[in-house]
Amino acid sequence: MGLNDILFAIFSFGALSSAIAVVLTRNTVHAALHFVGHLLCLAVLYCLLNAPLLGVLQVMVYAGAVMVLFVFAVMILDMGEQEHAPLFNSAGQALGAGILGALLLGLLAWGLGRGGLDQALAPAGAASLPGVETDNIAQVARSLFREGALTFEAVGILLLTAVVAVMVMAKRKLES
Amino acid sequence: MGLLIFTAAVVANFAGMIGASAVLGPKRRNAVKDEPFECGSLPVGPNRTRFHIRFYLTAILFLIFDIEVVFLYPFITIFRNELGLYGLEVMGIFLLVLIFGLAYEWRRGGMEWD
Amino acid sequence: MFGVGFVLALALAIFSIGAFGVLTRRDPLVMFISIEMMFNAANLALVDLSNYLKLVQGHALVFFVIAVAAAEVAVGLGIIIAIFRTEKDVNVDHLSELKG
Repeated sequence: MGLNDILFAIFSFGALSSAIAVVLTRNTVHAALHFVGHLLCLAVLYCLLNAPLLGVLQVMVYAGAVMVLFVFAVMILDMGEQEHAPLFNSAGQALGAGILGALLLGLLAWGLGRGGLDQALAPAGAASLPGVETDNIAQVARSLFREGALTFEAVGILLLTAVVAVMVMAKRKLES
Repeated sequence: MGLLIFTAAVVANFAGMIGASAVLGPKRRNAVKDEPFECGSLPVGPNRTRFHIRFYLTAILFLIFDIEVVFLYPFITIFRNELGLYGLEVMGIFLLVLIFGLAYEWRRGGMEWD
Repeated sequence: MFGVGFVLALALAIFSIGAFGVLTRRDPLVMFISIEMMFNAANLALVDLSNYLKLVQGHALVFFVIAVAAAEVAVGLGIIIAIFRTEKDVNVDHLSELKG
């Protein structure tokens, strides 16, 4: 029960409980803040899983920019009167969605169990290969820009699309 | 081991600060003290103003260009020694596409704040 | 003790919770947050498996998934704001103008 296991237990419990809190809370701002907590727990899990670049990326981009956008959207939409709105449309719908979610979980778990990964021997967080931990950024960069160069350019065009779309929507709002 | 001690010290510091101020601070609540502060005058009007859309536009532009910068971070670790001209071409096309986006946004007045 | 299978099970659980949230909540912003949670569950599974297989292609794919999710959030939140900005009661069940 080393430090690795303790941190794993704490932060996976934190990720799961904040995920449940996002779905079940009534207030939208609370949901956004629970999601920020969820993202930070996931960032720690990425660092424990030998992906420090992705942990930092998660905090910088996801928790730092995307969630700021969400909070701005919450403030713009003026959700002050949502306190007495019903949380679910009907109990039957929530029950049906819960059953479907459980079925999805079971199906995915069955599909993954067939690969034998539940008996996998490699413990998470073990940097057993030399150079795996210290060279992570360079290795990811090599994979990104040599094998994934075409995908990288496509992501660039996607970001251009996002800029143009946002400018079109915003300028129409500003002029109207 | 050092990490464990550091974590314990951080948690103890945080809990100590909040706990000490919760325990030691005076608690004399008053109806007047609980009102929102308006520099002396009484609060007038609803407390929710409509946000201008420019805040949202600025945040979105920050997001897009932040992703571009984040792609630059691993690129620069291997650009000097390994990627050379090929890397310059790949990243150059990506940056050119995003410079077109920046130029479009600039011309449409996305950076005006008045 | 917490091996590959545990983190994969956690990713599955987060994915299912996100799916439940999208299906059930009527608030467009919380629905969007649940969609983002599903993205994050997929990222967690990718990172876990690339740790198990000692490959970094999984990390590169996570990079791309995060970039795509962020671009999608930008456009999607713009649409939500454009639709719901003047509404008093923010509920996705009221979007029925395209219904035949």
